[in-house]
Amino acid sequence: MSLIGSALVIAGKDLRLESKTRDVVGSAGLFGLLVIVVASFAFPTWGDGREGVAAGVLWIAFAFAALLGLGRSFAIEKEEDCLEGLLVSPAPAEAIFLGKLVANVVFTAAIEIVILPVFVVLLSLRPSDVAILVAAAFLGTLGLLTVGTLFAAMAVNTRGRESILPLLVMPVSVPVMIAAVKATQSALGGQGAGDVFPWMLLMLGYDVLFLMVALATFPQVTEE
Amino acid sequence: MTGPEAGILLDRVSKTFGPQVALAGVDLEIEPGSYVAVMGANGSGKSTLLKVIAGLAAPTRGSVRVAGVDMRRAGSRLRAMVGYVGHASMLYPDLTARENLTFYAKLFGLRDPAPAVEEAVAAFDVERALDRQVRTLSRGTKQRVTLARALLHQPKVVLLDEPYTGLDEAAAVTLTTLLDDLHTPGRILLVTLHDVARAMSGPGRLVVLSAGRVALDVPLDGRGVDVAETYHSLLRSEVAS
Repeated sequence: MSLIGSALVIAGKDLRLESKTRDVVGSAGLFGLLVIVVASFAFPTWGDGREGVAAGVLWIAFAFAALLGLGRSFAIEKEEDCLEGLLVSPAPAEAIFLGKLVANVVFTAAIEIVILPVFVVLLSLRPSDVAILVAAAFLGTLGLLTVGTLFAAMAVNTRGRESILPLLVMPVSVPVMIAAVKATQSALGGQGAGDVFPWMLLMLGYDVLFLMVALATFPQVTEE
Repeated sequence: MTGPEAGILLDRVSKTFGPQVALAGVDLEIEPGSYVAVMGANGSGKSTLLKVIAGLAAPTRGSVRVAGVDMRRAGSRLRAMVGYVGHASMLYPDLTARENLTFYAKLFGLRDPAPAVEEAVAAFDVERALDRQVRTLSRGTKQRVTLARALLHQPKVVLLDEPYTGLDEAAAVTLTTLLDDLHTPGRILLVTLHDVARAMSGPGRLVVLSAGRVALDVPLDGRGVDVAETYHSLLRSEVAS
């Protein structure tokens, strides 16, 4: 079976598991919504500069929701040593990484699709460019999850992996998070965000670079 | 390259985990069609031996060749020749037995997973458990589903790490019969055990590991050395040292 075929089989298995347990989308989605609801009461929904604050709030919600999902991503493979079952199969290690990444992207996108309209309504926002908003959400999420999926695999065999994972992911994902916030601010019509193009380019470059790094290093990460 | 005859050759294989030595220069040649029991005290290196043969752990030194190919360079075709059962079931507890087996059948590239799953569950008599969540299965039934999972793709090399652990006597007798059935010409069956009586009732060869080395390698043909006594004296000397 091809690399992509194996990855899709693994992603399909994760989606089936999630459809039964609702472990990720349920808890992470509720957490993300809570952040947005609390922020809508805490921050002003009028006046200059509110788009910048709103973009920051949105990405805090996205990032924490993604981290909650990432923690679960390899934990399900640890129970009953299922990761060994994947590693002894003909599927290349890179397919395991890609399958996990695809599943994480689908889970996080599902949460974001719910959070985003609630966010726009509660913070009384009028996005000036919805396409840029969606593209920024996708590229930022992909970068965060690419790094996060790799670190989730590294952290799965450590004690206290839930606390270690954010410590590993957050410093490395600072560039993509800044770019995502700036691009989102621009898409929301915020002043002072500048041209959105360099931020989108930065996210794209970050995503491609870390996807290559993750694919190159994942076989070593899973080797005993 | 990976023909139908899948012999195993270990050449001075060592494996260390930091300061801990799990295997210390193991030489072993296993012919196709062999049924080999691997025994030894806890920590003697049995599980690590199976993991390096399965390609789950890379040897620190030496080489492991299956069907003439170094496992470190094993491609998907070679890995598809190996069926491995470790200490845990490798089954997803929240999925049903059917969903688990179908997933692994797809992952092993079986073109038509459904008939392969039906055939495997029939062979291991787990039809009634097929649509139950794995976490609700008894230890014995789960072990049979685990074996079905490892053998779905008809591997030429079957590696079983302490498959009797946790089974009651009835389930153990069933497993012994299943293992005898699995012992077919051209297929290697390598099983780690703790009970010397089980090693005497099926396998044709006994390999005993002690501190990561092969301490005993004898045929189990009922002739020659008193295997049970030799094994127990090896264990006693290990405890004494």
